Amino acid sequence: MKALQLILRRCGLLLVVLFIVSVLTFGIVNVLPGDVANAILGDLGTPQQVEALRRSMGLDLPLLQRYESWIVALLHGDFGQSLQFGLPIAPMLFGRLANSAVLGAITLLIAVPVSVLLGVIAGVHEGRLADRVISGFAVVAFSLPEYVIGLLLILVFSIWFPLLPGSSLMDPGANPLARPATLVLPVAVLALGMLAYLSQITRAGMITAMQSAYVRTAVLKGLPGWVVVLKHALPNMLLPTISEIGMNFGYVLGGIVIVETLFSYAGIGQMMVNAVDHRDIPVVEAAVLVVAVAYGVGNLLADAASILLNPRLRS
Amino acid sequence: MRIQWDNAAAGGFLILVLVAILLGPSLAPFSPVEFDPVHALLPPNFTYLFGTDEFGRDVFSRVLCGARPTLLLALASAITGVVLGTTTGLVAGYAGGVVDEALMRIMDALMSFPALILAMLVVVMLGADPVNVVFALGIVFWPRSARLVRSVVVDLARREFIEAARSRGEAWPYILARELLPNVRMFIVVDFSLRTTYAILLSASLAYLGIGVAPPTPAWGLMVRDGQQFLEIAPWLVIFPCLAVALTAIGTMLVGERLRRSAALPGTERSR
Amino acid sequence: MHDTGPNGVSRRHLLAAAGGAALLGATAGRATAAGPPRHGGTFRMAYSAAPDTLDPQATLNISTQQASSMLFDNLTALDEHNQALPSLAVKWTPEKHAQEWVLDLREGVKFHHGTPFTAEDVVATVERAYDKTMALNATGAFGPVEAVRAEGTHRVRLVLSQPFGELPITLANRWARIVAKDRIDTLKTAPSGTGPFQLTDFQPGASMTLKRFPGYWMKDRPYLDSIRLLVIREAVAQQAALRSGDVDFVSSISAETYLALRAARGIHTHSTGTGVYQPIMLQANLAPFDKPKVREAFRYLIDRKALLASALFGQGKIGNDVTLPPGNIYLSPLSANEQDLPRAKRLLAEAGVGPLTLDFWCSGERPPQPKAALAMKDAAAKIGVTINVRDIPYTEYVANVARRKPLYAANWSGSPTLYESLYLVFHSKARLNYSATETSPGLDRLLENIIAEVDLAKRKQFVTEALAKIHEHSDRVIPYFMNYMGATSDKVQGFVPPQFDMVDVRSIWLSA
Repeated sequence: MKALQLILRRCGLLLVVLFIVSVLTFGIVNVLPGDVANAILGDLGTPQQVEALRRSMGLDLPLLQRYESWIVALLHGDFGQSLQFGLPIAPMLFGRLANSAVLGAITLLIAVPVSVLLGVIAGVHEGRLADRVISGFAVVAFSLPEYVIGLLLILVFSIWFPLLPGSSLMDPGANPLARPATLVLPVAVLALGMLAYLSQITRAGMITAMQSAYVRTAVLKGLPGWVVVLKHALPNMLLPTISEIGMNFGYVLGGIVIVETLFSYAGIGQMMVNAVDHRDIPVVEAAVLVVAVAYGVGNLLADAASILLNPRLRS
Repeated sequence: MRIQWDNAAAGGFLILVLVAILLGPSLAPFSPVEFDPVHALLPPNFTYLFGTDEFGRDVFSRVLCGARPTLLLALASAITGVVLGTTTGLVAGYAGGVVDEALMRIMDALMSFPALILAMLVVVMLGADPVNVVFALGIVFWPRSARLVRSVVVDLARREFIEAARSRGEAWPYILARELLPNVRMFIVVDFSLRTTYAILLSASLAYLGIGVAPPTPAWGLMVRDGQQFLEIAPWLVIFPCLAVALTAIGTMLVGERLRRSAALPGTERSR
Repeated sequence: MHDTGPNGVSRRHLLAAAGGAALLGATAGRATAAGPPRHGGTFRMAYSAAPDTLDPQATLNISTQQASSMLFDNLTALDEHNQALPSLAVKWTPEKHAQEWVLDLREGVKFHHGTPFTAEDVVATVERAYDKTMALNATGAFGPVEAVRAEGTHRVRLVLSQPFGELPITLANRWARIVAKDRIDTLKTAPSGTGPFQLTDFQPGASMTLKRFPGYWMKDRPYLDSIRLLVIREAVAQQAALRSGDVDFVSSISAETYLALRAARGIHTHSTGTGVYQPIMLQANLAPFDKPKVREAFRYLIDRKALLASALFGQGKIGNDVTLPPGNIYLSPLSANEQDLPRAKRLLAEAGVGPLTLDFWCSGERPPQPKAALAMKDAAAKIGVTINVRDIPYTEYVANVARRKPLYAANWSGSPTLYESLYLVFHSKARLNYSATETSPGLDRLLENIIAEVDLAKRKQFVTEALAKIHEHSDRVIPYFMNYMGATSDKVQGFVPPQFDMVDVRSIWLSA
């Protein structure tokens, strides 16, 4: 039962991490130049108006007091109200979270198997043509910022050859899957970035595995190549790859910020950028926390998987 | 990446980068900032190899002169992140216990922010200035480097030579600096080369969101951002700085790969 | 005596009698080009910034103001000459030399939630707008109001703090929307107006959906069944969306996008002169611009023609440091402030300021501000003035730059009234005078005369005198006026490019 203990401990630590995240976010957003009163009134607002608005939103209260009332409400399950919109945060947050989750899940579903496949092929054929093509592609895809890839894809597939929509506008109440065509380009951008380096991780793992004693023994036993790869090499390099995928979760979430902004995708990344722009503290807090939870849980799952898969830790 | 020509490529690239950083401005045929409205938005030709922008500035000169601000910023960010991370990793890994736990949870917290959002928050907080961008990227890299170094140090700290140093009565700063640090050196160097690549990409993404830019500095990310409006009518404004970003990123990756192989390090952590 | 503008009383009464039918007269001609207007369809409009509030009195960005213009009505509307037309008010009569105004309201108008529109709603609207504790951008939207009273169910009296001839025009502005008294508490969540469309869905930061209000007071309008207001931030994505038919209209686009779309098939591009300008603010209460000669010197730095060409690709007009755009009826000939570096250098020497080094604050969120900043930097360097361009986020600009730093770029909407375009910006006590300074002796007095004067010839004389002072000494360089640029797909009919940012969707219909 050591495994269970370990996993429970991780859960507890996640809560500690979330607390630190919330404090950091609150602190940083509060010292950003300008506040939500400035954002609402713009440069038309007189200093007196800004003061009045600040008071009416309780922004004149001490920092600690505001944090306290925010976190107490949160512990009661209340995300509070957006200062910018004057509307409750929970409905918009979860709607957008769901949209982002769809985007992220499809990306993972496509990128993970494809990159494992490519990585295995490259690893097995190390140094040969297949490897060079795959690795070369990975390096190029990896070294372009997401927004550049996105802009180029829009230019090619939406303007020069108008095949796919260049923005992922959603009808009210509809889910992003209602118009799958709108998902193609954003997913492509995210998946390319992931592919680029997950395939390289797999490749490195594969090369190490192929050089290990048990694989060599298997080869010496005269087993066919694909059996060696599938039965001996692959299972042994899955572990590091899985934990990499866990870490990647954070990367997918980061890429989402740019992709959602670029494709007008109503997800949590777009919401976060907008909330930072408007200094909407409760919304920034809520969005960052939700992302941190997603990241934490992603890592937790990856850790749990490696704990359960690792015989040394299991016993 | 076991590609035969990567030694040559990495070496050639390093020379190219050095030349661009040191001599870029003096090699540029035109001023990267002065206006020349008569020659606005010209497509690439023999006078203006990469064409001109809407103010008539030579894109080739701007790309050349952009090497210095872009690369110095990337190197400085990588150094900041790696120094912060190495220190934290050394202390956490060596001290263990509560210190380790506390430091690593803070690192976890920093990791839970999407990298771009964290960088954005820090730059907006401190003000748009290259130094602050360096600091922000340093903070983004910090937990990632710290994790890496710690994972190596945890292992090393149980080895005999550390025990020996401790029984000699060495102070812990000495052990960290003289005993542990040399042993993680290669990991740090490889990590550093990767961070440099990410810094180039991340600072370009920041510029795209309009964060931390200081016109008229011809930084590549900023050039892409300003040029994207013209993507259809003057694509050369975007293509050439993009190429510069991509080539540099590829180059630093190759160098990193080369270093990794010479150090015979297995799959080092490469998360962003 | 009761003149509200150059077209005189008779025209106004004529229009008042014609009622709402005349309101759309200006746009009718266009519609017939493609046959009789067709009812139905969804009009999808894309903006680069999200509608961020449903409260019509708190709006800031253009997409939000567009939304409020569709959900709500004003007391008056504007014709193509920027004179007042009836809307919710059918008649307006000045009393006591225009220090009090009596408004007769339209009968039979209903709010979206079914209650009839009465004088009480107007009273509640104005009182809310002027409530200091609310801190709304609508403060001042109805002019210098001191009190508002209902006189019967469909008559309202506005008592002003000073004579104010332009009141009927002011009532048409973007913050003077009329809200329902019994729905004032839910303005942020469930707004109810008398406008042609009612809200069906609001996704904060992403989109807004409206449907036709069947009880709209104007018969047969609107033509459209519903409207989607969408956000597409990236210029390239805007182009792609319009081309692929994902949206029918992209509004307030950049000059670059305009150029790219102009060549596209199946798309109409629109570009019209407006009063929108981006002043380079020379904060008159801060050094070095507290010296009038320094302010004057900065007028001769920029090559305005070249800037207009490179920043706006000619889609605008050269500005001459007065807030009225070229073509305005009050404009009298003034010498052109243009690049003259020796003169600028001489003025700086005369002012006795040493070698200057200044930060120029601008925001890439308000294009093409950074380009104007670069142009000034480029020119200033030639006479030994060092300018560092600082590109910052808009919110930071609001908090730390506007009214606080010596040199920065702002963004100013056009306005049909002298009250908004002159008085509010230049009177030393006015809300929008960022320098809080009388930049030229006697200017305050002139401005007071301008808004109080009801005789057109006399008013024009005051304006001429005021503009001469502003032209030379004001706290702003106005290098250009920006065109409104937008693009519609071929099936959009009856679209008129707006003078003041808001598109009148009532005249728009979609061909099959």
